[in-house]
Amino acid sequence: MNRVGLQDRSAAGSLRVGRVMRIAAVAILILLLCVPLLPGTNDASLFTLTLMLTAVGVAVNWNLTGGFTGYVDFGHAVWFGIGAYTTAILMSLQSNGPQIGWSAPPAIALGALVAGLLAAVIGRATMRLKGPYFSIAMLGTFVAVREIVRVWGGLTGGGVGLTLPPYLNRPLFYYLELGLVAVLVAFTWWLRGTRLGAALVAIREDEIGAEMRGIDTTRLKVMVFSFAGFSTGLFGALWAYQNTFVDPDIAFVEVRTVDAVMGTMLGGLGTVAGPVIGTALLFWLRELLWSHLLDYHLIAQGILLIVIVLFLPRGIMGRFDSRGASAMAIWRRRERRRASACEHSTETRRDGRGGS
Amino acid sequence: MTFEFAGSWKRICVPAIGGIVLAILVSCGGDPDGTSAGGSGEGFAGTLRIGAALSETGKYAVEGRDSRRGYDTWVRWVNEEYGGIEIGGRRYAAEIVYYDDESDADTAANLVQKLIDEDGVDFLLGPYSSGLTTGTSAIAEANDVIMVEGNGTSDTMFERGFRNLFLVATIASDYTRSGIETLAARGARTAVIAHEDTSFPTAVAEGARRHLEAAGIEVLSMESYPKDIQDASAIMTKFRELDPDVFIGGGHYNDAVLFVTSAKDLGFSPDGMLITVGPSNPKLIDELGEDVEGVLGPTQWEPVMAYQGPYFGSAADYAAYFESLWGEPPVYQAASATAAALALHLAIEEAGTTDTVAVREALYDLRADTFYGPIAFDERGVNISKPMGTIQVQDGEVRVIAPEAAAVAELRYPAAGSSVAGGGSSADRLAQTLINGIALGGMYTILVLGFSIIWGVMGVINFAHGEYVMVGAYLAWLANHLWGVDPFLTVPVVFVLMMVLGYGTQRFLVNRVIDRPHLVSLLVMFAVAIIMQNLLKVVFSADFRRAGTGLDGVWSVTGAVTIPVTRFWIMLLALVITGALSLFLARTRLGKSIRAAAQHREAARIVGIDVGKVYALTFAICIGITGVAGALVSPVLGIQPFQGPPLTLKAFAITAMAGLGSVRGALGGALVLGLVEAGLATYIPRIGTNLAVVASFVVLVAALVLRPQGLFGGMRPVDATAT
Repeated sequence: MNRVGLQDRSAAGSLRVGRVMRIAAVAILILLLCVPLLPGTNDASLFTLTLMLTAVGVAVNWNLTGGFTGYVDFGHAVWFGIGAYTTAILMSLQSNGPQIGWSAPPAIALGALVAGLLAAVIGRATMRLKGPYFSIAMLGTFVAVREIVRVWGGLTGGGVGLTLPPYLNRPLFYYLELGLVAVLVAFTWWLRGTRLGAALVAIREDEIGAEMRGIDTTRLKVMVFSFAGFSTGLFGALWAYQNTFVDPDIAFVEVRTVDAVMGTMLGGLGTVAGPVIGTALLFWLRELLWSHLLDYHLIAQGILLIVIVLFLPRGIMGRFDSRGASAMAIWRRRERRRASACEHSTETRRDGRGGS
Repeated sequence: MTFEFAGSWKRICVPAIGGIVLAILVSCGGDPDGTSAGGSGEGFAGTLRIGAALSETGKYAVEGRDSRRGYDTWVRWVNEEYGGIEIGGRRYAAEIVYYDDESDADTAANLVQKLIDEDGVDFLLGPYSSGLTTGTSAIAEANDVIMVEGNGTSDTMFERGFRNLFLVATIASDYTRSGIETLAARGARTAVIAHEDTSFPTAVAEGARRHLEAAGIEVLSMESYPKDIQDASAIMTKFRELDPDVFIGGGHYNDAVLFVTSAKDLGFSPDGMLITVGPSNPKLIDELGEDVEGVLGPTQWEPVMAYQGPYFGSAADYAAYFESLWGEPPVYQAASATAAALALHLAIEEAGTTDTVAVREALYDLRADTFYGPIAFDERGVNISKPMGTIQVQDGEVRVIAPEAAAVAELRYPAAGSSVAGGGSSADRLAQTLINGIALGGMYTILVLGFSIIWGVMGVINFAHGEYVMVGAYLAWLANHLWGVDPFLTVPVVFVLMMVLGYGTQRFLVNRVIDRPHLVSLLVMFAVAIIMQNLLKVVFSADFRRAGTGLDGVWSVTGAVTIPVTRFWIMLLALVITGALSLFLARTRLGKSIRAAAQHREAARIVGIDVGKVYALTFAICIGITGVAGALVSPVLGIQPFQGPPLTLKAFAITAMAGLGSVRGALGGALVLGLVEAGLATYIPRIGTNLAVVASFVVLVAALVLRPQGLFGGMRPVDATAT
């Protein structure tokens, strides 16, 4: 576990950057807190920001498993959908629904809890798989859950979906999501410095090695996975209440996972600030592409993804962070090691760290 | 240290600055604040601003365009022909501010909020689709802005007690009403229903069941199926046994094609077929020809309907005016959009003000006859006075047969060419299920081979696999469409062309990521998939295509057991290709090199194999086979730019289950999955077809966890578990 420590030669630099980042983060938070008070701010601009904060929150959660433990989840949006649907089921008064009629706060809380619990259950099975198998098993889980939601009409309203009592207080939702994202980012930052965080990175770097050093990898992996599920479920629950309507195709959207992966990759896999910066940038870029390229914006986005992956593999923040940022570099090293696994002598060799 | 920092800053700043410059250039070049129609203001006292979020891109791009044309038709008419909206004795120009909602719920909600807050529109017109209307109408309600719409018809959104949402079209649950009543009057006694499990088709089907029961028709079975269904033979097998008088089904245009063709393939011929979406579209007749004769379908509106009003004149006059503007006759989505705008217009004139309360009261009090039919809203805001029309394809033409007020022809029932079939024992059912399952398995085999070998040999998961299938299918379709070549005959050409494409992809892209972690190649291929989908959409549009083949029809084993001919030939060719590939890998030098490179890359290199070349050839051959698969299935599956991902997932499930790079495994896994899916879909009532979709993933995860080396062994161990 020492290996994730700070004895890197660029440690001092990364600490200084760390301080700059912290100050910048606080400044941005204060700025965002003031946004609703600025003249010219209206419900529309707050709503735009709220949608962006939702995507940022999901990306931060995705990064917990994808970036820290190295388990790339291609079905993360399933927790968003489960959170959204649980809330909708509890709140909806629609005639073909279950008509439970709870108020929002307990329904949203339970939505997040159900997502977290299911993540714990499913994670126990899928987290046994590694590499692309885990990724695709989660993608399969996503598709399967959406299909189950569709056919379980008595509970979920089936394909028709469920409507919620509308309550569109944009400033309230904005502050709620801003607070959530701030807490999440602070939590991730704190986590990175703890033994627990170090253990997570150890899983990513060398799972068997971590286990041999006494880390209960299964428990840790599932714990982080279900926390990420819980937290994304919370964003889903809030989204359902704001959107006032869920159906399987709008609650379970692949794009939410894709955005989280792309935003995190762009910002820097396994970094604290990466998912935030990357997703925000992605939204801004997309706004430009969308309003001007119409039919071509998805093509442009695909090309952008290839460019990021090929030429900016550590993301924007990866350049600053000596610890987790080099996830891709570490992976590359691991793969290289695996490729030459037959030569046992090289198995224990530790080649250049951090990639720079 | 400092130097390193400067370097990294440069690496970040250069693209960032480049991006910003690009962004500024782009922002200067265009109009990011939406587009608008009308409202020049010359000779008018002012402008009435109305807002609408419509889909110009995404899955509703076609219907979104039609809706926009409908709204724009009203704008042109009101400003140029009618002389402006009269409010309190003064004439105002109409202007509609549009945004593209990208067919996405969040975006639509965001834009409607923006229209209200930033563009300050007085009224809203609806987006396209029930899902988008349900979300955005809540925003209109919360902000007390009236939204009139014609293209979001799901019942649930009118249960919410909203006071600001008005629908001029017939509500979803009444879609099939006039058709069912007409059929009942002609003696139909039993019916079956199959519907897509998404919002609108489910609402239509639930409504159909109620109307059937009310009309005294017994519902023998009701089946749901998932979006993008690619095989309806299980549903048809079940229905054939029940031998109903009437079949009611559908969801999307492609489903209509699928039901008509697979009913024919399986010899299922009810006296009446009522299909929710598709029959009123003339394209369906072009595509299916005689097979679609006698098929019924609901329609909101047709130009031949006998409706008439003081605005736009008759339905035919409206259609002529529309065609003079857009060069195409209107589809009903466009007419519904025009009617929505017209209803709002009439209410504003009646109220004599743009005040929300007054206009709302005027809408509730509105009683108008229009080209679209009568308009009168009930307390929910639903237009209950316009009945849904029903058309029948008669002699290759769309003719309105109900309701009486609009009908131009009489229902032909039983439909021409319908013969009595059906019945059958449980042994017949089992035999038919086995045939369906094996046929499906044969198709999956050829669809999965290329994917499996690329993964097995190169360790690359080709996330764009389904898109390569689609490219192959489009090539076959093109040859079929342009020169009438049978898709089965295009196989050699498609193979060569696709090999070139595969070779290119490998050389320029895959080669760069082959030594990188799985995530990298996955993401790159994922990006390739997105790019290919959208390129295909730009080139071929999002419409469904289907290639015709001479090898169609059915072979009857017994009366109730049939073999679909096209699928039989696909399976046969799949077996031939599988066998050839197996021999190639086992006997030829290149084949042996490929297997060697798969087993141990370094060792292969040591014994003198040019691994780079082997990889390029492997990729080329596999993409060639994948393209051939596309060409072969082009008469059976709907060809559409976005049909790739489900195929990729299926290929993944079969490969991971069966063993990487194993030819026998691909065959075995595909057959197992085909049989499981056919069995579930046939033997589980109501939701069987949905479960078949889930099955492949349950099988996948179970297989990975329980038997990580694959059921059939493979070129390389699956090695899927972490600890």
